[in-house]
Amino acid sequence: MKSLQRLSICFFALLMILPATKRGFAAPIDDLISGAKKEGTIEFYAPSTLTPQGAQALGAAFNKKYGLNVKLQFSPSGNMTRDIGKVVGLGASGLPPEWDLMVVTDAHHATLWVKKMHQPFDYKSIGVDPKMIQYDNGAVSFANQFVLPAYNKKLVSASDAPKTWDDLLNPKWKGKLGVSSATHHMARLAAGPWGEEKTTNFVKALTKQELILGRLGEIYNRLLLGEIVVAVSLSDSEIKSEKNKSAPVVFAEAVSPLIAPAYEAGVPKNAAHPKVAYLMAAYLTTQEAQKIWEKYAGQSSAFIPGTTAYKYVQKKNVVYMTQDQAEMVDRLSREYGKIFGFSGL
Amino acid sequence: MITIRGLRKWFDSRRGRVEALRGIDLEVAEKEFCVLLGPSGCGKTTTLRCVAGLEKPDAGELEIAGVLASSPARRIHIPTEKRDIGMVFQSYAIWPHMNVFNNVAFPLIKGRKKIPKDQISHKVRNALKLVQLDGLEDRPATDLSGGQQQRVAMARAMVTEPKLLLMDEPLSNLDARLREQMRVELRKITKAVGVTTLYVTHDQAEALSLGDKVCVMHDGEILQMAPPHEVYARPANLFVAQFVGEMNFVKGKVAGSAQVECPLGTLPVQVPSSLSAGSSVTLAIRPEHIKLSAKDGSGASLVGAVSSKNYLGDAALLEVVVNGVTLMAKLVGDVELTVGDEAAVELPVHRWHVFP
Amino acid sequence: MKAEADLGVIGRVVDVKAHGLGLFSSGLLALLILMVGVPLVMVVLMSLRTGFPGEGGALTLANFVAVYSSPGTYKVLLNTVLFALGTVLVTLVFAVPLVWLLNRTDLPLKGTIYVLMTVGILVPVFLRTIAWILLLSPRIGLVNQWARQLFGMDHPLISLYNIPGMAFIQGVSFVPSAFFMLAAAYRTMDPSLEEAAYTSGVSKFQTFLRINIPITWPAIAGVMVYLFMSAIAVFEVPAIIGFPARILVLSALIFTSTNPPTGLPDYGLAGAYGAVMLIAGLALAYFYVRLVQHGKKYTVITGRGYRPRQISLGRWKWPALAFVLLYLSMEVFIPFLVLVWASLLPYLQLPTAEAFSQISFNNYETIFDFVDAQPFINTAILMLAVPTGTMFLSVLVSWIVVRTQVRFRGSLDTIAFLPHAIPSILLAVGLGYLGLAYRNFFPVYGTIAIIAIAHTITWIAYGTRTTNGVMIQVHRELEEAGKVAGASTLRVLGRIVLPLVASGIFNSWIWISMLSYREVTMALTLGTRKNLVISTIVWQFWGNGWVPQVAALGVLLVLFAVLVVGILKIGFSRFGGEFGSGN
Repeated sequence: MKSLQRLSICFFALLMILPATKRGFAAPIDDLISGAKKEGTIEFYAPSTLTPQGAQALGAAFNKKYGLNVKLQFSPSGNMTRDIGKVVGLGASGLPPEWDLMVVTDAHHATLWVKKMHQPFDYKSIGVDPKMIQYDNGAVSFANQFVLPAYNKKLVSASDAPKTWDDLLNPKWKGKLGVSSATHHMARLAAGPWGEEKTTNFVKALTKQELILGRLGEIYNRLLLGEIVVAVSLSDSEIKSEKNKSAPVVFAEAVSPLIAPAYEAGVPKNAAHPKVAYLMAAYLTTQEAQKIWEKYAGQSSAFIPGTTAYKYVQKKNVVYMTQDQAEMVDRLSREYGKIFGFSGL
Repeated sequence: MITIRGLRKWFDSRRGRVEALRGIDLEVAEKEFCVLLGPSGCGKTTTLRCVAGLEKPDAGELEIAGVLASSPARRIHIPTEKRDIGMVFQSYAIWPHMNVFNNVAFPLIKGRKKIPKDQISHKVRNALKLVQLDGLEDRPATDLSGGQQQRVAMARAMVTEPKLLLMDEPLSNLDARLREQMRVELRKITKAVGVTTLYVTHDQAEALSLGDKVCVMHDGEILQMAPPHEVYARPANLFVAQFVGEMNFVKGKVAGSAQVECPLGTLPVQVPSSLSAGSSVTLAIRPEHIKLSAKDGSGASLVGAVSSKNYLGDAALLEVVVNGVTLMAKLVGDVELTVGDEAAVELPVHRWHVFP
Repeated sequence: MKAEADLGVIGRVVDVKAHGLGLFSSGLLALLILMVGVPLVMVVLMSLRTGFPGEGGALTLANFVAVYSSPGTYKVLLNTVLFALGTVLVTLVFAVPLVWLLNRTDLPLKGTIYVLMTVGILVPVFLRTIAWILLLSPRIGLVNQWARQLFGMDHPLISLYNIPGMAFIQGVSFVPSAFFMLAAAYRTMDPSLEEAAYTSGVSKFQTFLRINIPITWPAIAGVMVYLFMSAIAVFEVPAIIGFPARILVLSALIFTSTNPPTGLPDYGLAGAYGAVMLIAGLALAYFYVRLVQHGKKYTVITGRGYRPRQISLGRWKWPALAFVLLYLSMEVFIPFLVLVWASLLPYLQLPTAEAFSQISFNNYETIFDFVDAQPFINTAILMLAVPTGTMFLSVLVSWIVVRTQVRFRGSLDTIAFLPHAIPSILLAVGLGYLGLAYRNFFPVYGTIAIIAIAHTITWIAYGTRTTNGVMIQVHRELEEAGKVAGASTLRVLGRIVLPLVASGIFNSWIWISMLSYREVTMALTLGTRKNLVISTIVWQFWGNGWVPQVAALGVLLVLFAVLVVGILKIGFSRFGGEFGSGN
């Protein structure tokens, strides 16, 4: 009899505690949601490839999921490096940043991280896969770009196309090879599997090919026109976008390793509407958000099962940047810029 | 030297067609000094510029030295630089980046009659001497006074010894005293050189003193073309009468072949036969022909009250009111009449002009 | 009693009037010093720091040491000078005859030519350069391909990727600017100076060489100085044509230091590079001021008989038209054609049968998927506010500089000219920083106003070049005539001088409006979500490789501009009477 009484007390006690603990588990996201309701706006900085339409779609889906009515103000990226510079400058002057959530590349977040301009948040506590949390809880990696050499398939047959990075050094490409000012592509290889020495030798050898220099968009268009037939590295933003589907520029898919810069969402320090921002950052990793992002901006995350990117990276040797590589990537980007001839010093 | 037949020019603007020249006929003989006189807008400058070739006439013909220079009908227009002319502009148009010597020498160096280098200096100095500017060869153009610029312009225009000299109101930018001096100079120089001159001005005193022949222009037409004294003494119509010199006007009515009724009375003035009795006319008499004297008791002449007096030193201008008509009289020297006095007014009959 | 008091006030006012001019000039000088000096100081400070704006830090010469101890820097400087000289030469070769033809002769179709020149600026520079690449690229250029087929050459006829090629394209694009600056001076030159030459028997050609050019030389020299400064700072053409050939100019170095692939922009380095431009600018400004003073002696308008007579071209009409057509083809027709071509395709390609089969209006239909109405509104604001503010200040400055005896007027002119010596990106950064730091007092940061301010400061230099050129030609007597008749100084400015110069001012107004429309560097630097303008949108499109989309946008904008400018020209000539340049 007494054991039954004790059992029932325990049972009732448990009944009472369980909901409490359940509430405790849910507390971080609920707190964010109610905070978001109060804040009501988010200044959202993202690549212009998202387009205002894409941003609106994202915002609408976000509101629907969490039952919110947040107004999303989209700031398309003009020049990420410069805009990161603005955030740093503002922070140094003790002023709040213009944006609540910034979607920029991993390399750009590295700069913010080094300058301690992130507002970190325990994203894990609201369900984000720890693999995707970067920079000491400063940013969430939710989409990947892919970078490979690219060629004009009308002018280069599949059999002639480069199969490895070293193929680019083949003298048959002399004077027909283009390289963009996005030298961080090479720097990632150096900080990653290749190491600095091998990469630097590679870069120096490349310069003997009488390279055509240009910014990314220009290199892409020169490739289209046939002024160059191969680009040392292009990203899929140009190649795989809906608008350019019929264009004859394709990746040299055989080349390995595949470089995968990431788009990451992070909240800069002293942002005006942090709660919405954290929530949005986490939201970007959901399947639903991935579909929207891919539809408009063309990318998805290689870490989220089932996405296009995920499928693409299977069985491939991929180079991701980690935060401890940030400093080397920065340094080598500049150095390779000098070697290629983009800067004068 | 110049023959102009039926010259017409019009300008089409937003407000419609403006006729600048309505058919000009003009002959200027060799070595003649011909003056185009008229108010602004009468077409005198346009005529001059047509002769210069700077404007193209729309109809008519222009001959210079026997050669057809402009004929729209025959599609002929000899450009300015090929005409043997010299021109003095109203603004002088002295080239500011050259000195006096080079301004005058330029036509000889780059003009149509190129002269060998060694002769240039000689000709330039001669031209400058002619206008009394010798010694100023090295002066920069921007350092010249108005009068000096004007003379440089003259020297430049004449240094090529052109057949025809054209002048567009060259004295109007000078002050009064200089203007009078230059007037005398101008006539001396052109006569000395013996060049045919076509001269444009709005100043009738200038026209009368300079010209061998004066053409009074108005509204695109030549109203009278005659030697100065004829234009002055026998103006062809009302406009010429009031434009050249001072004139008194009195309205009247023809009463007979030698009778005109007017507020001054019935005057025994010769009436042109084309005017019938009863037609309105305007009587005109020059101020210097009106005689004023102190009123005596004779009662034969008109009497008027002196309403104003302007003493000029060598002459006196008096306004007298006769029968309600205000007349301006010009008397030599001074006269003892003052404002308010009553004066005897004598109007010589043969000095009256009658205009329809 | 009251009457006496009134007289007393008037008496004092009359007293003040004499000092009024001095006071007013001082005020203007102070304003300019503020507008120009403060960003200038910011730039200098920037170059002396190695940190990031706002981080503070000790002043150091480290940037200068890094820049000037490197041999690469000097090669770049040499490239820059050669490029700039070539550009100026090309510009003048086209601009001077064009000005003469359009202002002093009876060339037909002037109104149309004028509108087309104004509108050419609207074709984005990179698209214009792509047009040239399509023609003259050694590998794919159409001209070279045809030459190869016709003459069987195995190496290209003309290659674009060298300094002469860069100078040519850049020079052609500067012609409209130079044209407007020169036209203002030409229009007010006393035509009897030329007529006096004709009546002296001098041919038209010799007159042009020996009379026309020497007298307008101060204006021409001023334009050359200005263009040279522009050519040193310009970026687009050297980037698109120079980079591939690894020919770097100063602007490219400034660009790479402010746009590194990763990390932070290095404004200190950029400032050190920019210092060269600043010093050059100061030196050139000095020469310019001397030229202006010399030119004042050539004051050549008198009040009477002023009406520019047209020289009739006769048979020379056809070669003249051919020349104008050649220029317009290079500046307007070919680039516009390429624009239209690109806008009708899904992606950029050479004209081939396959390409023709892909033509559609798709890109036009989807433009507004990528951009909403706000940038258009912002751009419109810029295009109205900037030229108005700039020309207003320019007229004031020019009037004091050229027409009065105020003692410091030389400094006033120099200071107005200085912004042109500062690379626009540095100016924008300096202003941006100021705007941020003082946003509580002057809440302009992030709004369209700060871009408008940046533009105004930049183009007072251009505005004053035009208004100076015009004022030089207005004879002093004009104003004195007005004064003698009893008009006050302000009245004289308003009723006598302004109508005479109205035409020149109007043309500059339009030109600055166009420049403001297409200016990218400053708009981007000072850009935020709220003050996006069309040029920043275009830049983004280009950066993303969306060439067909931006081409479609470009076509629409050009057509719209042709309409607007055409209407304005007709309206102005109807309103302003003889002074409309359409004649």
